[in-house]
Amino acid sequence: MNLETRLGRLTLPNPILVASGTFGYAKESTGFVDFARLGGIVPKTVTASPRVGNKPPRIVETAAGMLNSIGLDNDGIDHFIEHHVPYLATLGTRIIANVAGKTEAEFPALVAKLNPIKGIHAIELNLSCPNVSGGIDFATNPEVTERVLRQCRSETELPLLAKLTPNVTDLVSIAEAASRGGADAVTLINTVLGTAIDWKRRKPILSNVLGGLSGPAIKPIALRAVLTVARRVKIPIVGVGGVCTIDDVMEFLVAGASAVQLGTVSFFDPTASMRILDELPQAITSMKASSVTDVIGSVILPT
Amino acid sequence: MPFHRQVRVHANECLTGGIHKIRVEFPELAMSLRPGQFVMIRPSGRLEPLLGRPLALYETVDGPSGMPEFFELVYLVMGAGTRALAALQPGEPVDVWGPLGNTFPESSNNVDLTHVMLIAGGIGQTPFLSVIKSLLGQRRYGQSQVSVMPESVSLIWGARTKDALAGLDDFQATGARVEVATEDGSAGHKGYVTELADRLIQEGPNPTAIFSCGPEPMLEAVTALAKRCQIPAWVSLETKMACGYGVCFSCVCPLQDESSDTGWDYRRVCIEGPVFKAENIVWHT
Ligand SMILES: Cc1cc2nc3c(=O)[nH]c(=O)nc-3n(C[C@H](O)[C@H](O)[C@H](O)COP(=O)(O)O)c2cc1C
Repeated sequence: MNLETRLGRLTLPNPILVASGTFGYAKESTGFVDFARLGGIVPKTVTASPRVGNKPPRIVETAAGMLNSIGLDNDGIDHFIEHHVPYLATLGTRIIANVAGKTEAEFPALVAKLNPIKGIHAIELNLSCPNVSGGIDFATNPEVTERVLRQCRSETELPLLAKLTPNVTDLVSIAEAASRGGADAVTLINTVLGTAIDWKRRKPILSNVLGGLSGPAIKPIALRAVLTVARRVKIPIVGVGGVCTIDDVMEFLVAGASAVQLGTVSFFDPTASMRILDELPQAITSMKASSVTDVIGSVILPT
Repeated sequence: MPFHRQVRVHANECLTGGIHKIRVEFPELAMSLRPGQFVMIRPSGRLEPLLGRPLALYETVDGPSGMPEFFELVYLVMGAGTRALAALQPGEPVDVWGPLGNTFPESSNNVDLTHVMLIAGGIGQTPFLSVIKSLLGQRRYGQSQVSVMPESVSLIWGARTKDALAGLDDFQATGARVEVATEDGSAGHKGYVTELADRLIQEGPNPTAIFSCGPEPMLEAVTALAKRCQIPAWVSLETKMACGYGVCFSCVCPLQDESSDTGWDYRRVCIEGPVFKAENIVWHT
């Protein structure tokens, strides 16, 4: 059984990745996850300077999902390179660093800093975090998306993934822009903007008022994003949003994702990735396929 | 090393006042849990409620082998998560992961544990049954050999009303001194637990260490009391968590941090706590 999959210049031994912001810096999952079995790890987003993050409450549970407004709580890129990369590099898996800029110019600067670092196999650009004060979503505008990708591309030969937000009218045009700018793949989707209200106190529950919805509740939105973009954009897609089980993984692959990321599921099912990896070969076989690539995008649409 | 497994409910009963006790069969975990630590638990196979709930170890229970095979958790039904737990019948599956978090000081190496005062508020008594039994050498937990034997251990427990003092006899049975306070005066001192603790400290013997667990305003009052009496204090925080093992960054609490411009930084309660030195907590940012 060949589980290998390709995201442009990045080859993965299998399509099961863990999503940024839902797997810490990997160390926390020691004992739950055999890291070397994963297709790869996307550590929590890092920014140019340390960010304290939002005031609690930062999460609220919702119907089959949760809202979060963590606010990119992190100790900055220098700390990441010094303290986390040396550990991540020992795990025997592909490390896809995830970065977010506060300004357009910060993205290529972050990429340039990561470019020479041993142990980083690819970089995911978080163009879409809904929780950063100012609320600038770079990936809501095709021109900005293309420009950021172009600038990052000129700083590195490493594979680049553009992580996009679903909170736009026309996701296809943004994904096309990322492709034109030189992205190896697009990651679809980041969280869906939402909120929750305590009506008795007449107050929003999150201190940040708005948050990002994730978990099983958003799977149909993510699946639709993958299906739509796969038919119109040439570069590979990493599907993310509500993936919890082997069935979810297969749905995303069939819809056109070349790999998936597990996010919120890690919070309530810390060993989900291992179970899914156990079940994947059998699921591929059951489709009379012999490799993951046979399954990717094999959806049959009505004519 | 943490465990994550689907296991079975062995017993689940209502004590009093909306407070329940669940017993779960999970030998590996029962053998490694230490007083002050917690587990995450959720009914298996459902998407609602989605997230596990963090609950402190109440007690471990030996099986026929004479080794710990079960553990018990005591919880107050407050929302969807605890309501779903309370509805579970013996034999039903739950997903459990742990052991999680740190412990109160366990050894007399760095901490003087001659007279330990435990101050609990609301449902904050739950970690203290195993803490008391461990300190008094009545039961062993996990691999660690605890050999302190304080001269005195007292539990000062405050709640809204008498009904909320569920499992009081479990504590009394340890032989530790147990004093209670209720806001409505239905049992013990009428008023706040910190008033009672203050009086008992004045009466002596002077505690050499205070451990506390309960709602944050109470913990802040305990911190102030301990500071005034110059007694080292540790508090266990009850914060909202999604994962319980450090990956979600939602359960953060501000802790003093010299290296930060503001003098504090958020720390994850699940992996750096839930027990913190009281003086390191920044109660208002
Ligand atoms: C608590 C939390 C924190 C997150 N933090 C990040 C982050 O730092 N960077 C990022 O690119 N995505 C972040 N995400 C988004 C996830 O990576 C993922 O795109 C999203 O949650 C949808 O997938 P899911 O439904 O499987 O969780 C976060 C999600 C959650 C729930």
